[in-house]
Amino acid sequence: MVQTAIAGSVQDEVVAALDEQLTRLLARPEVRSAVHEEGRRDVLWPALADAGVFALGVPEADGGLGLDLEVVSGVAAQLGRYLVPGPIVEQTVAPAVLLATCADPVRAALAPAVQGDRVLAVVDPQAVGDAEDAIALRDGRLDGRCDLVRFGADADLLVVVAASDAGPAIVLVDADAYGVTITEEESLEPLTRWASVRFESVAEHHAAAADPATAILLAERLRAVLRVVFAAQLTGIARHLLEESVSYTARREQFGRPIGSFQAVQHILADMCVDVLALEALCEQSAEVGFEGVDHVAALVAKGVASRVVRAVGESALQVHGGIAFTAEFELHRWFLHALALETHYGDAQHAAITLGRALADGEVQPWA
Amino acid sequence: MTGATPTGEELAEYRARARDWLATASIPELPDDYDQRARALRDWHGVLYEAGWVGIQWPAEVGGQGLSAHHQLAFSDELARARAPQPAGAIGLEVVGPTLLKYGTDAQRERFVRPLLSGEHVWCQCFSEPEAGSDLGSLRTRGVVTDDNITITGHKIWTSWATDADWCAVLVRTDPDAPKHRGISYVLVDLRSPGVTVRPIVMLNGDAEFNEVFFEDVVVPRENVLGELHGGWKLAMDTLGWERGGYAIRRRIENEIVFSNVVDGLREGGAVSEVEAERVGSVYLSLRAFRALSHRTAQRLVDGDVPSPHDSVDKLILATTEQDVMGLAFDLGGQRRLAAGSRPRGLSADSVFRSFLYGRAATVYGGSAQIQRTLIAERLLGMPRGR
Repeated sequence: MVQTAIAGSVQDEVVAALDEQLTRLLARPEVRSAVHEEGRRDVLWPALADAGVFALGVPEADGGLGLDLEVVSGVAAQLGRYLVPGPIVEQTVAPAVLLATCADPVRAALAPAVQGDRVLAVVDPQAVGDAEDAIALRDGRLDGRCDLVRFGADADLLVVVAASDAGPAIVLVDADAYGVTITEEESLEPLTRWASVRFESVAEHHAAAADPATAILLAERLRAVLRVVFAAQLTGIARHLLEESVSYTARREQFGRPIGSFQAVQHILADMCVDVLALEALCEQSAEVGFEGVDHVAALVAKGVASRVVRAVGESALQVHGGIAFTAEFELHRWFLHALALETHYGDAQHAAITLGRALADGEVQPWA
Repeated sequence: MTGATPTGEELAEYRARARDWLATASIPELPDDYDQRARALRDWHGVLYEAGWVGIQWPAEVGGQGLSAHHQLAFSDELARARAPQPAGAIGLEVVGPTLLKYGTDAQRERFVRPLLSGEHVWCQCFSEPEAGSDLGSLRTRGVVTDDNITITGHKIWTSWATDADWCAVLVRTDPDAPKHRGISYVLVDLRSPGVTVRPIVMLNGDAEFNEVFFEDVVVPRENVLGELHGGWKLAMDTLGWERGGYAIRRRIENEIVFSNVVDGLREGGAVSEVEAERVGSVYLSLRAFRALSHRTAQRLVDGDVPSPHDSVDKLILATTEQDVMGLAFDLGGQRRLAAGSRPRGLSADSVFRSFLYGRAATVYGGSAQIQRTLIAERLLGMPRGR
């Protein structure tokens, strides 16, 4: 518990510093419009790198801050609240997970990403619901394709989850390596950029693990931690949507009184509040076991609940704001739209429910282990 | 109530001890019949008490284990894992007891707490009246105060487990001239006192769990007033806080056990469709979120943050999750879910139906879901008061 108390205070400090930075930057109209309207990733990126966001979970021996998953998760929630675009979750999680275990060439490749000097994308067919073997690693060659790779066209370095004969394996590939083709795909949501990434007999790559057993473990851990941290980011978005709804309905008057004094409106807000509090508690619990303690089931649960809650809370937020919510000018919808883009990434609530329901019914998972 | 926040190792060690004990304990099968079930639970309470698993978070000087709400939570989670029932006296342990501990005089604590924990005294709570439901403050049960006694006359309703109870916490209007929330006292009444009549009400599911309780000139000594005379409203809010927050943890465990049974039933036979798998998984997501929230609740209990609008959050999540769990169990029975004596999907149709109907009350007892939502909006989110 002493450990937790220290982690808690560091987390508070990091979050507070970031809070101050982002508030200051986003108060400037030109920054705000570049980030939230044009969805520019590069505008806030240097500030995040300076604050050490990408180094949070990286071991100190590798130039990181050596902080725990709780801190990474707390910061991700904050970035959700401020609606900061970019492959931030990937850039923060992948080095933290891989550097704890990986081989030397991978260390060298990841080091600039920790400083924010190279942009990293995760290419994982599972993230977008594709077949596990959509990208295959055979005889030292990488082949296959993955669409909807978040910020794939911005990336210098690709962290690829490929199927090998022994199971999933993580390999690092330079975006400009021979045989890699990256094609930007248009997104209907302004803050998300996608690319289709194709590998044709790519031979230049580094395996993250020295042996197949470690490779499988690392791939599972990377996926689990990404789910937990994406869930945390969604938690921050949900929190923002709730706070905006509370303050708007307390201000907006009809029939001579604030609409937030009407029970019909209050009860919508109360349901949003319960959803957000339970989600926050769940995310906190999923993160407190640390990078190495997150299991697949807990990660699916966190991502499933986060997806369910942010969708419901977002729809309620639009409802209680009334007509103004449906204008392009009023900013509320930006959070909602971004949540929709993240809702399905690594599986939505339905995906989590079907996967877990099957695993429970088949006896692969015990409900209260 | 007591105890500091434990370290992770302490808690893990305690959890392991609980797991070992439960692995060798003879956990009772609960009969369908209400009276038999009540007896089995009371026996089980005795077994748990003897082994030191009752009153985990209660101070040692009154007979508890002197540990924390986190220990209680760890033990409760182990009960869910072992599918074991909880000690019988739910109202005493989770609802009235904490208020007794907080506001009781030394003499009152000395007299009441030990038998409450041992299961010798089972408690119930007489709050609601026919004309005072959600608007509890308009209660009319009258208490005439003299130097030595209070003489109580009135009619209470929806009193759960009163037929099994020995003692009751009763809200009584002792000052008819004061504003409605200021003239109420919180009185501890021996249910064997002359003038007390308990009349069971058969519920829609066949159980006679709740009751009407009539008080006709029941004489109660002044020393049985808990807290200040006429100052009972504050205590009532404390009790309701526990009924919503602390009790939610207890009831969550019972929901988790039902869910485990549902999963077992599915494993026993028959193909599981994708629609069914999705519903099972969806309920599991809700239960896991509820479980995580319990850890925050345990910390609140350690910090003494009861009553709080967060109690309403716990109550609301309990109510909706319970209805999801019971609805799942019921619907999986398909066409045979109302066929008496049958076991669709490996579960007793009779028992699932009874639980399903009982679960519908979760959005009513302890303050309706609508009351909870209003409390959350006004007290937690700070929305302007409605009328």
